[in-house]
Amino acid sequence: MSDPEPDTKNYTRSQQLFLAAPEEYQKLVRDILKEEREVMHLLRRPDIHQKIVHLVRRHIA
Amino acid sequence: MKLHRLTLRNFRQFYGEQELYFAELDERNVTVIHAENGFGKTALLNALLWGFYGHEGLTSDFAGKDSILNKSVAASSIPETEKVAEVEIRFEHEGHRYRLVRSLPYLQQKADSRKSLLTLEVTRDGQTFNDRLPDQKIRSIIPRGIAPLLFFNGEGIDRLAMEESADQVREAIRQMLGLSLLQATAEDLRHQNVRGRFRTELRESATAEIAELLQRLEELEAQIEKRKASREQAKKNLNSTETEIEAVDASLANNRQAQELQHKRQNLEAAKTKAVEDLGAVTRELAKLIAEDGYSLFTESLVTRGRAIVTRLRNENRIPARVLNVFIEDLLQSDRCICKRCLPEGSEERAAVQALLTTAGDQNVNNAVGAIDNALGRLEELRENTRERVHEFNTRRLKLKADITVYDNTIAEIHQQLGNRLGEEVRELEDKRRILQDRRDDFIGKIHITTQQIEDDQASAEALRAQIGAAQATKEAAELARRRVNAVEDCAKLIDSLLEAETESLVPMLNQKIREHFDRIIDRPHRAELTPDFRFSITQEIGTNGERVDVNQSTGQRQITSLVFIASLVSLAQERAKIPTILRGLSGAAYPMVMDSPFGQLSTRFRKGIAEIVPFLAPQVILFASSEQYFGMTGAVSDQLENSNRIGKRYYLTYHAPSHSPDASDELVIGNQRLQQYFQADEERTEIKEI
Repeated sequence: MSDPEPDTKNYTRSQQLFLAAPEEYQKLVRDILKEEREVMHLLRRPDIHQKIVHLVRRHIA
Repeated sequence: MKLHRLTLRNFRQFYGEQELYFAELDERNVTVIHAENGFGKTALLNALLWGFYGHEGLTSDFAGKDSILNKSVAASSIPETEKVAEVEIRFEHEGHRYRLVRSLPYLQQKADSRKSLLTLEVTRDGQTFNDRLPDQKIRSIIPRGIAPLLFFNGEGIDRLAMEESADQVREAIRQMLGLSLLQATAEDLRHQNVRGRFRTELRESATAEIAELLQRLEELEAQIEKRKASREQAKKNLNSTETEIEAVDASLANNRQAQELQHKRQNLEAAKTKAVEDLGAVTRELAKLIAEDGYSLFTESLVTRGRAIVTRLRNENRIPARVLNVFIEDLLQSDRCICKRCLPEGSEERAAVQALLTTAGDQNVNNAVGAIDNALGRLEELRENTRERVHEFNTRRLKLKADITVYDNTIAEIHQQLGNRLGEEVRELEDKRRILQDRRDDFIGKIHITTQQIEDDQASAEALRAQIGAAQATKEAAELARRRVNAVEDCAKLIDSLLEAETESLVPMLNQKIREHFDRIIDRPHRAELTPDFRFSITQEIGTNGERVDVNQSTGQRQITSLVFIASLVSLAQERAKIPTILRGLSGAAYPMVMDSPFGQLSTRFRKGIAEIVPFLAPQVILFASSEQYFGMTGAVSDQLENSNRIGKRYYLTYHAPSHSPDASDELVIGNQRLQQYFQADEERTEIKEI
C-alpha cells in the first residue's frame, strides 16, 4: 500500500478512503495484501486463508 | 512482453515440426498469417493458448480438446514413448528471454489429456536456468484473466460493446490493470475459512440470542451466494442464446426471400429496444418526481384552508397586529399609561388598558403568518409545476407504450409472414428464432427477479448485522471474537470500496485513450465513450450548441468499439506504473494482440477502419485472415495494411486433405505471386510457409 504523505489534497479517492479507515484496519489490510500478492498467480493457494486468520488474530488482539 | 517464435511439433493438424517467427520491430510490428477457413487459423491461435495455459486456455470453439496430438502420429507405428505433441514459444519480458515448452505424450493424452508438462527456461544476464514454478511464472507475466482480451476470435469480439456486457468490461479493466488482487483479497476475507471461522468462535462464546442471529446471517449469506451463482449462470445462458439468435438473424438476412422482412424486423427491434430504454428512463424520472414533490399534489385543501384562515385574520384586523402585546404588558407592569395616567389595580383605566390585550398581537405571530402565507404561495406553485410535469411524463410514457405496442404488433406480423409464406428453410429459422426468443425472455426475467431477491436478502443481512452489532457481548472472549468478525467484515467492505474507487478512477484515463484510437478510424462527428457504469456509448453532435445524442451501434461499430477498448486497455496497461494507485508496485506491461479473423462479415468501410488501426492496437500485432477477409471488398484491408508499411512478417497455411471448405480457394494470390495453398491428400495436415 502507499505510504501516507503529509499533503492529502493530492490523494486519489481510494487513498483517501483508505486513510479514513481506522489505523488498525489499515495495518491489517496492508499485511493481508502483502500475503495475497505472494500467491496471486498460484493455481492453488491452500495456506492463504490460514495466513489471513493468523493476521486477524495478531492485529485484533 | 514480445513474442519471438512459435514452434509446433505434432500439434493437431500441424504434422512434424512447423515454425514461425513473429514481427518484432517497433515500426514493423504486424505479423500476417493468411489462411482459408478450415485450414488451421483457430488451431494456431489455440496452440499459443495451450502453450501458455494448457487445457484450460483452449477456446470454447476449439473442437476435440482431448486430441492434441496429431492423429497421423497417434495412429502411426512409431514407439508410443516417441509420440509427443509439443508447443514451444520463445518470448521476452522485462529484459528476460524465455523458452516455454508444453508437451503432451501420447500415453498421457490417453490417460488424461488435461495434464500436460510445462518447462520454462529463463535467460537472465547471460545465464539460463529452469523456472521451478513455470505455471505461476507464466500467470504472473500474462494473468489468465487477460488472455481472452489478447488472444481472440475477432468475429465474436463485438459482444464486449453490448449493453449487457458491462460486467465483463469492468472485469477486463480490473484484470488488465492489476486490480484483481483487491478482488481476490475481499473474497478471501469473506471465505468460510476466514470469516466463517471467526463467526464460529463468536457463536461458541456468545449468548443464545446472538448465536441464533449469527446462524440466520450465515444462512442468508449462503442463500445470497447461491442466488448470485444462479444469476451468473442465467447471464451466461442469455449471452449464448443471444449469440444463437444472431446466427439465425444472419441466416435470415442472407436468405434472398427473407432478407427484406428480416431487415425491417431488425430495425423495428432496434427501435423497440430504444423505446423500452426510454420508457424505463421516463418511469425512473417520474418515480423520482413523485418521491420528491409528489406530496404537493395532495395539498390543495390544506392550502385553501390556510388561505381562508389568513384572509379571515386580515379581515378582522388581527394581522398584522396594530398593537403588540409586549407593549401593553410593559404599561401594565409600570402602572402608568402613555398618557401619563396612573393604572392602579382595580381602576377603570387599568381595565381599559387590559382589554387591549385581547386585540393586541405577537411579533412572532406576525412573522409566522407572513412565512405561512409565503409558503402557501410556494406550495401552490410547486403543486402546479408538479402536476404539469407528471402530466408530461405520463403523456410520454403513454406514447412510448403505444409505440412499443405498434412495434410488437408489426414484429409479430413479420413473424407470421416469414413463417407462413416463405418456404421451409425460412419457416424453420423462424421457429428456431421464436423458441430462442422465449428462452431469452425467460433468462432476462430470471436475472431481474434474482437481482431483486439478492437486493432484498442483502438488506435483510445488513439488518441482521446491525442487530448482532447492537447485541451486548458480555464475556471477554465473545467481545474479542465480535471485534474480529467486525474487522474481517469491515476490511472486506473497505477493500470493496477501494476496488470500486480504483476502477472508477481509470475510466477517464481509458476514455482519453478510447477517443485517441476512435478518432483515427471514424471520420464522422462521432464520439466513443465508456460511461461510469461501464457501458459503451457512441454519441453524435447535433446542431451547433454541442448537444449530443446516442447513436445505435451496428455490429461493425460494436466490433470497432470493442477493439478500440482492448487497444486502449493494452496501451494503458503499458503506462500502468505511472497511474496513481492504492496498490504498491504495479508495473506497466506491454502485451501483444493476437486476432483471428477480426474483419469477419464487416462492410468495406469498417474493414478499412479496422485495418487502419490494426498496427497501432498494440506494440505487437498478429493477425489471422482468410483471402476473402484480407483481399475481398476491393482490397479494403490489404490496401490499408500494405500501405501502412507495418507488416514485418508474413506467412500462409497450406492445407493437405481429401477436400476443403467450399468457400476456400486453392490458390493465394498476392500481387503477381500465385501460391498453392490447398493440396489434395489422404490425410489431413497443415504446414506453415513464409512468404
